[in-house]
Amino acid sequence: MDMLDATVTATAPSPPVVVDDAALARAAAAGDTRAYERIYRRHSPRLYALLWRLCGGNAARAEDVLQETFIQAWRKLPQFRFESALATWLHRLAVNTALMELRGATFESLDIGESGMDLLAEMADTPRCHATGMDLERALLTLPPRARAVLVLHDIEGWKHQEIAVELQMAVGSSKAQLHRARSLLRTRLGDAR
Amino acid sequence: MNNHDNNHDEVLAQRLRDLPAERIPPAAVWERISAGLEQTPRSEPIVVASVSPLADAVARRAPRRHWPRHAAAAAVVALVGVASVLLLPRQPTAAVAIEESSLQHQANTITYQYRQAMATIPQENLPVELQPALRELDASAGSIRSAIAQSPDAGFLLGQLQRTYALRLELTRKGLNPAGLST
Repeated sequence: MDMLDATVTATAPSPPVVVDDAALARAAAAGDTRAYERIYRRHSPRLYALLWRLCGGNAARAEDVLQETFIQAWRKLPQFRFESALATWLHRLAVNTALMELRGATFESLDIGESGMDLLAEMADTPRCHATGMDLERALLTLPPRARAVLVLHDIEGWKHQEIAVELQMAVGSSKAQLHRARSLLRTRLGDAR
Repeated sequence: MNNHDNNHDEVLAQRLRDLPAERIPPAAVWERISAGLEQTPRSEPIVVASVSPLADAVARRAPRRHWPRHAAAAAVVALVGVASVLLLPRQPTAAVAIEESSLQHQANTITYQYRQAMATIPQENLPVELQPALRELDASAGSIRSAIAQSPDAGFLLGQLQRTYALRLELTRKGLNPAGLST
């Protein structure tokens, strides 16, 4: 753990010297790679969890996106104006990178139905009662990419449909429909559809 | 939607929010990023114009590894293609290149189809020695896609992308069937 991380608790043996994101970002923007590594250590676990889900549990893909996100961020940091929190900026950059291929109308038709449903069907033999967090995580990964992206961004990350629609270049109504579909698929998978 | 559905949605959403918020990435990710930083040009402060696209594409690549020659050759060809198009004079409208072009759209479709194909192949038992080559091909595909984003008129890059994905699929399949893997 980064000892200077703001998340260090009061149980630590001595009060940590907290360097805030803005200070680290300014140092990194000036070329300080050690400051940038601290930014990475602080934010990458949160971003990797998000990317891992957006990438359907494909660890190699999630790692590539995480790498690309931080390379892009390094390049763009000198332009960062601190109008938003660094965490928010990195979050947006990561989502934008991960969802690049999900944009466009083509995928509206391609991902409706078959792939996700097939995967769900393959998992049908798994006991459906007493679904645990792991079950939910696994079921989440089987969703069609676009529906999964909407569900992750809305229900886990707290995005609004308007924001999702802009990010995925879809109508707000489509975002709502994808969310409804994703939740239905999840409930079916978990065996608690009612 | 009635109250019953709303309640179920809220229960499900709460369970989703309770999933782990963090996941530690492998140490190798930072190592690759760190190796790439030195080669990554920085943007000028508050200036929208982009940086050298060639250097950018090179910087995005993972550090060099040892891998099968035929895969190396294909990736080099792909990178030469990427480099050649990125060396062309840039349009002055680079700042708006974020908008998806027709070429990007086709590239996205190819990428989607490739991933659909990959999803049908179990990859748990791939030989360890093949992993660097596969990762390098992934990096090459990423560089080509970056080049497409920056040069939306370079149609030949689509072919490069297709060939790179085809090689990736071929290597993956051969990796699962070692008898067909040339040395």
